[in-house]
Amino acid sequence: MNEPHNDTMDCTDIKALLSALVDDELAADQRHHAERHLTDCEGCRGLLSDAERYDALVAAAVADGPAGLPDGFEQAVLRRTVHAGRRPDAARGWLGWFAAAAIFIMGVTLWIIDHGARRAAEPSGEVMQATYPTGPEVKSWPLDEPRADGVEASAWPSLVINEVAVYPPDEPVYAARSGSESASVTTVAVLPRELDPRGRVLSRESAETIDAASMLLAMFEQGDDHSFSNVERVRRIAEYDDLLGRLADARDQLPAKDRPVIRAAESMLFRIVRGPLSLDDVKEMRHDIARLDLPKQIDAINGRMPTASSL
Amino acid sequence: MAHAMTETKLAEWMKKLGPRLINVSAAICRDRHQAEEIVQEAFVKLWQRPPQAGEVAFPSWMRRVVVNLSINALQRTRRPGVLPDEISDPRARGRRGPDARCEQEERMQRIRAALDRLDESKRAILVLRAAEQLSYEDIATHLKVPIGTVMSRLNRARLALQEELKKDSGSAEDEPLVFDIRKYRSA
Repeated sequence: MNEPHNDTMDCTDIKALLSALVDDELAADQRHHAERHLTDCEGCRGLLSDAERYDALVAAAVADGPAGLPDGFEQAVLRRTVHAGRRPDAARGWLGWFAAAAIFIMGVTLWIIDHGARRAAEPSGEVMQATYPTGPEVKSWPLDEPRADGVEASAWPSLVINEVAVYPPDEPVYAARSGSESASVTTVAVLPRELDPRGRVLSRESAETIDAASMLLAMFEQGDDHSFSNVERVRRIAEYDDLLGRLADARDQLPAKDRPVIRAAESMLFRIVRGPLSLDDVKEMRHDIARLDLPKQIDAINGRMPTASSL
Repeated sequence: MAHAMTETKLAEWMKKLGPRLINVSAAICRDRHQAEEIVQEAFVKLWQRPPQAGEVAFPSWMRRVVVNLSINALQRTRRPGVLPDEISDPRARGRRGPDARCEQEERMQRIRAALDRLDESKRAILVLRAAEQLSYEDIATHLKVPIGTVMSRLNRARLALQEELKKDSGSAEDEPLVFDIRKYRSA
């Protein structure tokens, strides 16, 4: 594991923060540390220059198209804008109204058909609302009893309503399977297929959230002990992105054994977002992140989940 | 009520922004004809409902509309894209000498082919950052994703592009270095 907070970065740090280096997103002292390493490391210099070269090639490839507008482009736009209102006679106006009315009626009809179909459909990966009966059918799931299908008890809802598993009220309410709809009370969200605890698949958005948390914590960790480098930057991004809320959503999609790592990341990010932090706080947090090897652990979780491999 | 924009103004903006926007759209959706339609559509939207901030906001507003329409079009069609082919376009020819043009065209084809093999979210983010020089915040606004996602996705996009160019490259000189953050972090 890296020794945290040396005055220079090593190859691992450079590679982890390559994009930030290319895009000049590092704080001044971090950039200084990076440059000290780059002076001595030919491999990292090559890595950085390749990344910059490819950026330039992408820019050139995009800019390499024709310099003028294609034939007929301007006329096509003018026909649909400036000249769109010019109609030769009033009859066209009436025809237009009839056409608009017909399209509106067709649209409403299609919406009604689609809406009806959605209501009738079994849940198939969409978040839906439905009502389920309560009363004698409601029973507690015995959490301490091992499940036949091998799902960890702590990852499984604590209530089962008519074969519909529901998380307790202090958790997000998800049902694992739909029951028959009735007029009674409990409203639940049907568990999207990708969130089904029996076959957990991380949504792409959550995988990217976890990825972002790892990257931000790596950025935070890399500042030296005597500065607030990137603290404000990380705080601002985490706050702007509502990263804590997103991370909590992502955590709910993970198996129980992986949640503590995300909780640790959340607590670090919470402290950063809540602020204010003293230099000692920052130093302690940087050491903790390095000691726990948090970015690596977070990446390992993402690597294990099916969706993340397609990022 | 008088329209907020005149025909002359619209034509000026088309000439000013159109070619660049078509290139950006073509780089994302991999189909120049579709890109032209998308940019036409964006100008129609500009005419119908220009941004309230006025002309100063036109370039970024148009780019946002074009990027979103391009990504939506790609997600809707999900078909193998047609690479933008400036080589066959007479207006793209003749700007350089024959040798330099061949070499440049070959390089551009390689980078386009590598870009083409990336998924649309990576392609869009690379185009917005590398070609359009947008900040992370602006990219987040354009793509409607969090800034942290922009950062991590951009890193992955750069890695993926290097990977694709490495696959594509036969010569050691052009062979890019490839790294995997996870591998190095776990080292």
